[in-house]
Amino acid sequence: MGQGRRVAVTGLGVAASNGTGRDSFFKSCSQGSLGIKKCELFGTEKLMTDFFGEIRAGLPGSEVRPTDETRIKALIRLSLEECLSDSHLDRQKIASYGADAWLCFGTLLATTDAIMEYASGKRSGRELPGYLEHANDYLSMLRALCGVKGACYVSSAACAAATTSAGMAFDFIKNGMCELCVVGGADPLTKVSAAGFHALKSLSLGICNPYDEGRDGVNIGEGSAFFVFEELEAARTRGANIYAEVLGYGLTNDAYHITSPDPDGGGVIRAMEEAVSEAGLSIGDIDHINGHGTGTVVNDKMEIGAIDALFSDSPRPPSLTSTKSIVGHCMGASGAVELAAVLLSLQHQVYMPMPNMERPLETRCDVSSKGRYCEINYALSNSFAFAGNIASILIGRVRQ
Amino acid sequence: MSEVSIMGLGIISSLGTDISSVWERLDASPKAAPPGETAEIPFTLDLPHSQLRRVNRYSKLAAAGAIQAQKDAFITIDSGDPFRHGAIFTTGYGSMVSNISFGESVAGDEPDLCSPTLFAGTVPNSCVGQVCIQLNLKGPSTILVGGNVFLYSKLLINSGKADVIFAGAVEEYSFDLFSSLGKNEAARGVKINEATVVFVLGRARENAYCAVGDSAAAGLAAYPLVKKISVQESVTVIRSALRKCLKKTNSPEVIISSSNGAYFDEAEDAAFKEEAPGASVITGVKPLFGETLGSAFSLNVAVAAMCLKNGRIPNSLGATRAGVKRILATGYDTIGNYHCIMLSKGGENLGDA
Repeated sequence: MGQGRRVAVTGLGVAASNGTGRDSFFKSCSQGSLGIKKCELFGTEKLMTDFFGEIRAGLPGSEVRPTDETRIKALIRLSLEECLSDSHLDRQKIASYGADAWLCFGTLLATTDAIMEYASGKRSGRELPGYLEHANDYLSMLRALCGVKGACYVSSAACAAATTSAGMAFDFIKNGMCELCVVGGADPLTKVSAAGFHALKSLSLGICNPYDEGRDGVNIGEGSAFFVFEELEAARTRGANIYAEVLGYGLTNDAYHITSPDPDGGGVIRAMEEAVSEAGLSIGDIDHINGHGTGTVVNDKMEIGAIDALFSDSPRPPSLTSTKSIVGHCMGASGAVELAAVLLSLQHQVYMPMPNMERPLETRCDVSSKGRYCEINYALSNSFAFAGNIASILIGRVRQ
Repeated sequence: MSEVSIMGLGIISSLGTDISSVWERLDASPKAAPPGETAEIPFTLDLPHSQLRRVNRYSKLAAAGAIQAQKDAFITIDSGDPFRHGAIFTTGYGSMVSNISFGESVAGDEPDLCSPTLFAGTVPNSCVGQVCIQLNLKGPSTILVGGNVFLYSKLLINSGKADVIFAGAVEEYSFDLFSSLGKNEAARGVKINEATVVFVLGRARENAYCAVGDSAAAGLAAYPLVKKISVQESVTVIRSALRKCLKKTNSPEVIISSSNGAYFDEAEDAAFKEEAPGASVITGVKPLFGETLGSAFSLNVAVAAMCLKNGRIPNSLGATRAGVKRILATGYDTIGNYHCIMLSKGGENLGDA
């Protein structure tokens, strides 16, 4: 194992299109129950698809002023409150850590609704004062809700944002910079991301089908997930429920193209290698990977190639799944929602299926449309992004 | 093992568009003039036009700063393992111009007419991607909203995850954002400008600007430029950050403060008097460069680094000390963090974090 303090995950809250709350989310994911449905949030007549991973829990629409209860704030509230309750911490207890409790958060689209409303007003000649400069107000609410008095780090590395934030939190605790981190990611479904992926011609016409020969693109989703990371011995001392241990992470950049991954997958291989190396493990120890698995032709081919190359000498290749096949691509929050899926897979020793899979791409990995028991001791979660950002994080069952 | 140091610097600001012009203006006698009309700052980017056709101004600013910093540090990326070289950037509001422009096109309700190129430029990390592509940086990279890029970059180097990090801050001019901010009561009288600052951080060399020491942060109630927050409560927050930062180090000789002439200055003044009573406090950086939002803290660090490299405080900032070796730079970011960081020259005690 790498040097430094050990880091435990001691709280979990999640909200996605197939379930709000970890029990509902786990049940849906393990049974392959889809959250991707016809969109009700906005009109889809002119888009390539009607299908989005929308949370139908009475969340506000995009028109709300950023100083009021916006969709991003409501999403954060849904999973953060569950996380704090699960960790047996509240804002007062976290505040008692003073500057030693930090916040690490990942998002891409948290400010998008406010900017979109401003732009819409501008186009129609209406002035909307306050929308732009208050777009970051959700963070004051987040900080107040969780009681963090120390530093706040927000990664906005597009779809790798939340996994990057989790890796940073791990590093901060491991190296003694703070004692506890509230970690999470959240992104709302927006017209902007829908139109953007429509313009890129990257949307699936139906329900996405990652790692399948018939894949044709992504479904945009939304979601949020929060965790408490803390030093392992401190967690044990306070009798916390420990889900797993964070063991390592890797961040790299393709330095190749703004929207397309490097087909060689060199950055992906290196990020996974670094995560495994930091943990003091070997590649063959990895049982499971929650892949980036968007369902686009280019991403999935590259990722499968990278994983197969990395495990080429391993007698027991890992199982591989994509949570996006069930809840859609939650953008900057995807790494958080997928980390929740990995933690629950680890806890319940369950492989979460990709329900639409019919003709899997050729790979050494174990991929399936069926959920089942699956021994998982060590699992990687991958997130990739526009601008070449790549993040991979490794978690494992707690060893003595 | 040698300390993590600032080995190179690139700046695009209202005071100058490279380090020599910025230092020259800072050292001008009589004092440098404060910034004029807030607007886009003209700058040059030494790359072929073919590589820049689809790149927005936000990303060009980052790339230009990074190329300056690379040249200033005299480092060649191609000779080493590109995965050992990373880019950690911060911004306050990201690519706001592209976001508003794309938002307007979405509001037109004709998604077929939306530009995929414009959309790609809306993501905040597009600037980091451009820097990585241009300099072939394949190591750790991300973009932060707010945060302390020095703390995380130093951690990456000290923990063996990288040898060199391009740590930067970018805030581009947006007429809509800057006018909107300017109308905010908490920002009354504050001149807002764009700025880009990029540092090359790595293991110390003889010609380095300075060593990067301890840093600390604590959470304010909000971003002081957008919302008026309690001065009294802010003093407590600032003092906690200063105490944490100065716990293991010698006291600073000079503090480069985040003072911008608005109400929040009072909080910093009170905290400095309690926690670093012997230090000379420089309040003149923002009056010269303007309030640069997500780049403001990094700009203070850049000025501190130039002072340490030149061994003195320049004329426009007071010039009261020669042979200065320890400077504390402070600042707050757009998400309500209050930051401080100690920089030093010549083996001064910097703590061990």
